[in-house]
Formats: sequence, C-alpha cells, structure tokens
Amino acid sequence: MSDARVLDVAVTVVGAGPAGLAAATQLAARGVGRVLVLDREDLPGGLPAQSEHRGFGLRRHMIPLSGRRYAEHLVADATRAGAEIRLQCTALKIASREVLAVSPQGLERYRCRAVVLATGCREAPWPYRAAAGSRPAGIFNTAVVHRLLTLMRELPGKRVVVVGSEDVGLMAVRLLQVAGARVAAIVDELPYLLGFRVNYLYSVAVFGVPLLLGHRVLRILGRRRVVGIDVAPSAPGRAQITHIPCDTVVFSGRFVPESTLALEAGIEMAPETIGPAITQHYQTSAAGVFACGNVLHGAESADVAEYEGARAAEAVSRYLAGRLPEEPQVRVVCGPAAASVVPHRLVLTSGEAVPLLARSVAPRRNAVIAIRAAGQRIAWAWRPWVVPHRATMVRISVPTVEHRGQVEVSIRGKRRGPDFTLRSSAVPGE
Amino acid sequence: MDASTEELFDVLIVGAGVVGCALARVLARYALRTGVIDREVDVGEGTSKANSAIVHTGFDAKPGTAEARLVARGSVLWAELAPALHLAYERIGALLVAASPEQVTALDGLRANGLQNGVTGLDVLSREETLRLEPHLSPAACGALSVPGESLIDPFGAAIAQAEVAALNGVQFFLGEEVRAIDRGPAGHIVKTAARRLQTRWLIDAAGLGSDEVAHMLGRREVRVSPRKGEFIVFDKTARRLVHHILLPLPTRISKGVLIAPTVFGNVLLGPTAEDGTDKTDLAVTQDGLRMLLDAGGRMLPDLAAEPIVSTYAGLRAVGDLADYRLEVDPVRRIVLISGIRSTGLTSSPAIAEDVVYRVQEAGLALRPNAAYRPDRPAPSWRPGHLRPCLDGAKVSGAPRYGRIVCLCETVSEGEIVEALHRPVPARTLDGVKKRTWATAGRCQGYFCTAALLAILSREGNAAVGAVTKRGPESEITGGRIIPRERRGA
Repeated sequence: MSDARVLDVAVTVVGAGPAGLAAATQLAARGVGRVLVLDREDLPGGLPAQSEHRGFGLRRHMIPLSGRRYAEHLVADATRAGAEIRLQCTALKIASREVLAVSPQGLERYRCRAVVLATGCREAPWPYRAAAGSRPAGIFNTAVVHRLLTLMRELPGKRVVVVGSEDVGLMAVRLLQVAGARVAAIVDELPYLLGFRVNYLYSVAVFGVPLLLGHRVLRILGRRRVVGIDVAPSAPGRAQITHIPCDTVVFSGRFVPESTLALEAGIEMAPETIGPAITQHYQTSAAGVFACGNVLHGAESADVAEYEGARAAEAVSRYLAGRLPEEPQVRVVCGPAAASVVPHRLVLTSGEAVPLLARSVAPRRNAVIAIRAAGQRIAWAWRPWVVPHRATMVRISVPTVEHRGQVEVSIRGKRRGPDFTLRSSAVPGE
Repeated sequence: MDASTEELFDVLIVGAGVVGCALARVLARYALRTGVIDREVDVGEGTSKANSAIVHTGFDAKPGTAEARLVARGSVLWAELAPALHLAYERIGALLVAASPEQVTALDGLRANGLQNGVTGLDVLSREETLRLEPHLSPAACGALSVPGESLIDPFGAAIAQAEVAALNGVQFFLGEEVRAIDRGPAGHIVKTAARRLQTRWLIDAAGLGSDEVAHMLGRREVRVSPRKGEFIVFDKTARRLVHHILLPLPTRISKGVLIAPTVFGNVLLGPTAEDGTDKTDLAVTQDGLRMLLDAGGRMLPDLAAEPIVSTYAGLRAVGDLADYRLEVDPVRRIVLISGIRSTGLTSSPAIAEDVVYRVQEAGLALRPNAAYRPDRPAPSWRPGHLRPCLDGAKVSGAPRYGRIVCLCETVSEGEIVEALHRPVPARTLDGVKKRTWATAGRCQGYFCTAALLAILSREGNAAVGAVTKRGPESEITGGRIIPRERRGA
C-alpha cells in the first residue's frame, strides 16, 4: 500500500445511489466543506440509473419518474449543491478518518472528518437457496440479466425459469419475454406472491407465464449448461417433484446489504441483516463512520434510501460541529415476529422523533407493530398488511433516560394464507 | 488430416491435471519433445480442481505403499517448489482432533504410523493445549495429534504454475482435445483426436478419472477407475477467525473424514463427503451431503454453523482397483500408467513426476539436459494471500487498468483479468479467470462482475459475448444476441 495520493476532504461518501447522493447534497448544502462521492460504476445514480421503468421518486416529485430521470435529478441536485462525484472509483478500505480508493486515475487516500457508507445492497447468491445440483453455465441473478439485456443486448438464454416473486423477479420475466426469451415459469418457495399484484399482471400473467408459488428449487440439472430444474412443494411431507426443462435459471430478489467494506473495517454488524449496526443518527461502531440506505437493511424503495441519506447528512453535520450526542445508548431488539429493525441502538436524547424501519418474519394482515421500552409500549402503528421483504416505518419519540432498558419491536397480525387465486394449474413442460 | 499428423513427440502425456502438469514440468528439463493433451480447455479441470486444497504429510498413509512414499516425498518437494513457482502455500499445520477418550488412545497409534512414514514433528496434545490452540473447537474435544507439516496450497495454481513452467520451456499443450483412439505406429503410438493425429515414442496415461479409458485404448482392459464423490462447503472469509489449523477428524477406512480447513484465499472449507458412484461427470452437490457436512462441521466447530456459506462444490476422486496407486512403466511398449491416485495426487504429484521420469530413463528414454531450461515463470501480479495490485499506487499509475476494479468482493482489477487471459497457459473461460484471479469467487458470487467479465473475455479473445464459456464448449454463458422483434420468426 504505497504511493497513494493524499487528499483532504470534509466528508467522503461511498456510493452514488439515492442514499449517498442525498447525503452528499445535504452535506454540501450545509457547507461542511469539500464533499466527495465515490462510485465504482461508469454512471452515477445507483440502481435507479440503470432502470428504465417508471415508479421512482414519488415522495419528492409527486409523480412516478423513470429510474433514469429520477437519478438525473439526484445527480443534478448533488452537483448543484457543490458535491464532487468520482466515477469508476472503488473504495478499497475505510477507517474512521480515512478512505482508500482506486480508479484508473490512480490510488488515492482521502483524509476526512467523516465517512458515509451508502454501498447499497445486492441479491443473495444462489448457493444459499439452491441447495443441491450441479454448477453449470446458465445461472444468473437479475442484476446480471439486466445488464446483459439492456447494456450488452445479449440474451441470458432461450428458456428461463425465474426464482423469486419479488417485483424485481416479476420485472425480469417481462424483460426476458420482450427480449425474445421464453420464461417457462416463475417459482417462489413462499406460498404467496411477494411483488405487487399489478406487476404480476403486467409482467407475468400477460405473457401466460405459469406462477408456481409454494415451490422450492430442489436441484439444478446440467453438466455444462443448465438443462432443467426440479422443484417441489415447500410444505413438508409433500414430495411431488416437478421437472422444468430450461437452459437458464435466474435467481431474483432476497436482497442483502453490500457490507464488505464495513465487515473488513471491523465495524459491528447487525446479525439479522449483516449490515452495519447504527444509532438513530446513522452512526456505526467506528467513530466518524456513518451508514445509510440499503446497506442497512437490504432493498427498500429509492425514496426510503434518499430519506435516510438526507437524515444521515443532518447527523453528520451535527457530528462535525461536535454537537452529536453519543451516550447513553440502549439497544433496539427484535421481539416476536420482527425479523429486523433499523436503527439498532438509540442514543437517549429527550423527545427526538426517530423513524424505525421494521420487517416482519412473514406476511401479516391487519398488522400492529408495537414498540416497547422497558416493557411499556411507547409507540405503535397499524398497517393493513406487512411483508417480509419491505420494512414498515414507525415514528417514535426517543424514550427518556428513565426508560432505560432495551427497546423491543414486535409485530402482531393475521397470518396470510396461500395465494390460491394465483396458483397456476398448468405444470410447465416441454 | 492437418499437418500436425507428422508431429513426432518423445513423450505425450494424456491428462493435464496436477499429475500431468508436474510430469510436463519435470520433462521440460530435458531435451525432449513433450506434449500434453486434455479434453478440457484448461489445465487442472478434473479431480485437481475440486479437493481439499491441502498438501498432506502422509502421516496417516499405510506404510510401505507407493502412496505413503510419494505423499511424504511430495510434501517435502512442495515446500521448495511452491515459492519457486510463485504459488500460494502456507504451512499452518493440522490438528487431528480426538472427539472421545477412546479416540485419544488411537492418537498414539497414528503418531507411530506417521513416524514410520518419516513424518516429523508429530505431537500428542492434551485437551487444554488443543483448546488453547483452537478456542472455537467443541468443548467435547479430548485432545489432538499435532501435525505441523500439513499445509495449504492454491490447488488451481498447483496445476497452472507447473503447466506454465512447462509451456515456457517448450512443452506443447493440446487443450480441449479429447483422445479418441490410440493406435500403434512406426515410432510407438499414434494418438488420434477429432482434429489431429500425434505420434509419440512414449505415452503417459495421467488421465485421472479417465485413466482407465485411456488404458483400455492401450489394451489394458483390466484397469478400473471409479469416481468417489466429495462434496464441500465454502464459508465466508468472516469464518477464518474461527480456525487456525487444518482440523481433521480421526480417519476411517474409506476416507480421511470431514475436515475443516482455511484456504489460501482466506475462506474456510468444510468437507468432503465420500460417496462411491459410477457417473464420472456427476458433480452435483446433494441435500443429504450438505446436511451431513453441516452436522459434522457443527460437531467439531459449533460456531461455524452461524457463518455465511459462499459456495458449495463437489469433486470426484479417482479410485482405482488396487489398494495403492497404480504406477506402471512398460519399457517394451513404452507406456506409463498412472491411475488410482485418489485424493492425494495434489500432494504427491511432484514426487510421482520425479519417480516416473527416473523409471522411464531406466527403461531407456535418453534424458539429455535442456540447456535453455528455466525453472520459474513470470510472477503473476497477484497470488492468493498477497496484496492486490490495485493497492500499489505506482503500479496503478503505470497501468490504469489495475485501477479499474471488476470484482468488488475480491477487489480484482481489469489488469489481473487481462493478464490471466494472456499468460503462458492462458485462461480461456470464465472458470479459468476465476481460478487464476479469484474473480466471482467472493461473497456475491458474480452479482456485480459477471457482465463486465463477459465483456472483457469477449474483447480480449476477439469473440462474440455468446461464444464466451464457463468451461469450454457447450457451457456458453449467454444465449446469444437479442434478435430485434421485427426479425423474429413467428
């Protein structure tokens, strides 16, 4: 590790997606000094910049924009505020007052007063889910499929099975069909559709693609290239195996934080998400290192990431001014039916309003999300439904010092039954 | 038939696994025309690439066997060879962990066995000493035999590095060419592939799992090789903190048992299973196998269960019909049979090569030194366990492609990938790039970089993206160009 150019900046933001750009915009606008945003891609804007479909930025722009348009707004805002965006620049190491990054322009060390990690999320790799089978060519995730189709004009294959019914999987079905591939089926191990029903109708049903809910991938078949997959009902005790011939399997969704930099920096991680553990001020266990956006919780909408980025910027500027309280802290833990919660610790500051993002272990209808501090309920929210891959935001007022003890989030509601209305009767064959 | 029909080799090696590559390297020292032929498009694609990546000492081998002798010798040779070949090699030592008081009593016997095989430094450790060295071991551990010579190695590099030394010294590689038939010819043998006929004086069968098929072509119908599958689980680098040695259970009759070992890449490996099968192409991992591994791993190292799994794979050991290696030199027909090397070939390959070359000389092959021989190869700009070139500011300033990171998890730059595609034995596939650079082998398993890698392979190979493969023909990564809607048929 030698010969790195050294640059002094106020704040280094890692990742120019919605969270990072929003944080950089706010920081630059507050005049904290030089704000640098690094991104490894050729284009700034994160995932939205690569998405042509509409549905972004509803919170701020009041109408759904295409991902690309929405990203352009974010980039313009950051640039106008005075933040500097460095592209093709990969952060290699982070520490409390320092980021080491490399780009074709060279190796650089940014000495800074704060670091904001906004590295986003990615889909969990397929070995987690496809327990058995061989490892032939023709296994992808949607990010690769998306790049192949839109940037490289290549088909991943001719006959595809998509695994996972989140919106990203549903949209992959549409992209593949439109590009000329045939989607043989979309499969999800859960007995209900995870994405929006409108996306299912628009992207899957319209092409007559069979949906197999409550089915898991038993094994992938094929020596050199995929020749098919075997699926079976995920409910125990039912061993009916369905063979689906295909040359391609696309694993979609199940987003996990992209937290390699934080892991290697030895930052404390939240065991539920394997993303950095933070306080309500987006502060990690490393002094001066903040984290916001999907690196905390996996995929949420760009609106949520942007909102977190802006809030994180506010905390960073307080930190830089020496006005960010750090003690005393209590832990926020997952109680019954809560799968994860962000933030993971609360600094007991009187009366501060804080958004908690909680995810449920399973879908629930008529759900009540309850927040307890030292056994007493301090906040709750009702939602018509909650799903495991999207968080519910509950605003709480930070408990006072008298409420010391941990804060617990729990979720109650009616279990959601299988989506029989969507169950496909047609078993996909040749 | 093309012009190569007339080519005449002194020695032709069938099989470019670690044994074939070691032979090629040793033969390259002599003024011989040597060739290596393999049906796969890269070296080390069979048993050599899916194993436990350990250089064994041979402490547990049956004394008096060729295997015991060659494993012990191989272990010694690797310690010198690995640094000379710029190959990742770490002598971290193994603990053979006794899980019960009865097993503790067996440790002395194993120690004696090791001493008989010439293995030094063996030491029986108390329970306290064992747990001090490996604090994450199950408290049920009752003691251990310390085997300080057991080492980690880059198993892919072991074949590639030796092949590169051989190639740089004039050995010819015919990769992606399957031997269809072997006939007798005026000089000795005529080896036929779909594309060519190669004449050779000596023929060495080092075809691993396929060594019986090659032996059958030579009329040795009695040679049998059957596949014994071993499944493995690769854990995230976060698990590395749990393991400081290679952790071995007590061996059983058919297998060394399920071990836990760090890798030179920084991950932790759990495996293998041992299932005898018949299909030499079946590399599927099974749910039963993975469950068995997780149970065994959890019993030895309970904290491992909570660590993220990065990948799973299966390899096939070539189990022969003899209890020992089959190493036969036929001076009349000028044939060498190397078969049934099972799981110890990674360790023993340099010793097998040394042994075979000595015996071939005895059998009449004249070995005159190759005056131009150079024993090394250009160092790759990265090898496992070393800093990536992107961390070297001067290197990046001189060659900006080392500053363009392609694989984020393992911080592999475009520079390393381009280099792998232009080495003396170049990567020709996505798996070839992975074996040489570790790109796509990290925790995201290619989420970020697969598309970029395809673009680089296509550009550097002057081929369409649709022609890029995972491991040779019929493993094309994509399904070809998108056909515009107006040009699609009905």
